[in-house]
Amino acid sequence: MKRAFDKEHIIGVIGLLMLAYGCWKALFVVPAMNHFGEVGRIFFMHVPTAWNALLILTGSFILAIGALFNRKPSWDAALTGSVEVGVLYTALLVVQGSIWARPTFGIWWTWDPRLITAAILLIAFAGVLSARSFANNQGQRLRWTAVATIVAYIDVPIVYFIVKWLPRGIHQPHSFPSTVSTDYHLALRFNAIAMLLLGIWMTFRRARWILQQNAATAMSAAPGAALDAEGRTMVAGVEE
Amino acid sequence: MKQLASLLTLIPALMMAASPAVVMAESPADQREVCDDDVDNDGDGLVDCDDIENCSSFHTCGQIQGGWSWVIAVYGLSFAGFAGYALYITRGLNRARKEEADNDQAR
Repeated sequence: MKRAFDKEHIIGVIGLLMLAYGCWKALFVVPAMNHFGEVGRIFFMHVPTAWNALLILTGSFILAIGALFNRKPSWDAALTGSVEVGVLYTALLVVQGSIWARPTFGIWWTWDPRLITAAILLIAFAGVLSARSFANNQGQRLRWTAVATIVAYIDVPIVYFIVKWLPRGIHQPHSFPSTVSTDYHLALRFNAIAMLLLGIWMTFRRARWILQQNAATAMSAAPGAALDAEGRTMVAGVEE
Repeated sequence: MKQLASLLTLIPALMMAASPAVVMAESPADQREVCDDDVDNDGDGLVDCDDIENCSSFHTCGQIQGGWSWVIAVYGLSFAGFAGYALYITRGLNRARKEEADNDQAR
């Protein structure tokens, strides 16, 4: 049987093309930065990763609230997908920052407030996925994932504002379009939108996989049966 | 005794006047540039890394050598991360779909 085309691939392809263009601009077109030289090109990957990590985890927070209210498996799948993508972006962010720090500050890591809160963010959301794996059924998985996401999200605004609250750290303060050379705007924006689109694509794909797994579990548990909202096997609407 | 007391008070005053530290504090031009405080410490009109003469050897100033290897490391790692996760979910989804198709066929 021929499968229908998954529409999220359009988002993925646009994201990929935009990332290719943004990286080409960042690596070969924009001038090297004062003081940092070629190393400054790391910014065009690091900064969009940071924006999107916080943005995707904010999406997870919204999905978590929605999932708690409507208890639909599709919301649980989307929530899990977005948390996984958020963890991926945060992990990349921390590693990129570490590689950036080596040539510029001569260190791989320091106990800077922004670095510490970003590492806590990574551990907290990895913990959300870990908590999820211990749940016994789909209903419990949804509740645990949503509640843990809401709790872990407390760190997101802290990560964002910490450079304002404790400005004497090694990490630079917030940048704005007015404080960044106009030569760099296009590459930064292209990479940021590209990473957002790729993040959305990956979230959709992961959600599809989870829903497919749920359906397969229901089928193997009892042919012709389906899972209820709590993940229990139902046969002709009666819980087993 | 009085002469001795006035001598004792005079000695620290003379020592302070002769101290180079005091002279430096009074004259910004003789101060060293601190390269990461956003202040023109030595009064030459150049702040931090812009003061190339005094800050070129400071770790965040000057052109960092061997920059491309760090750039390639970051871009390569990021692409590997995206591609690795995309491959993981694509394989997982395809496997789950195949299982479903096999189940349908078995029925």
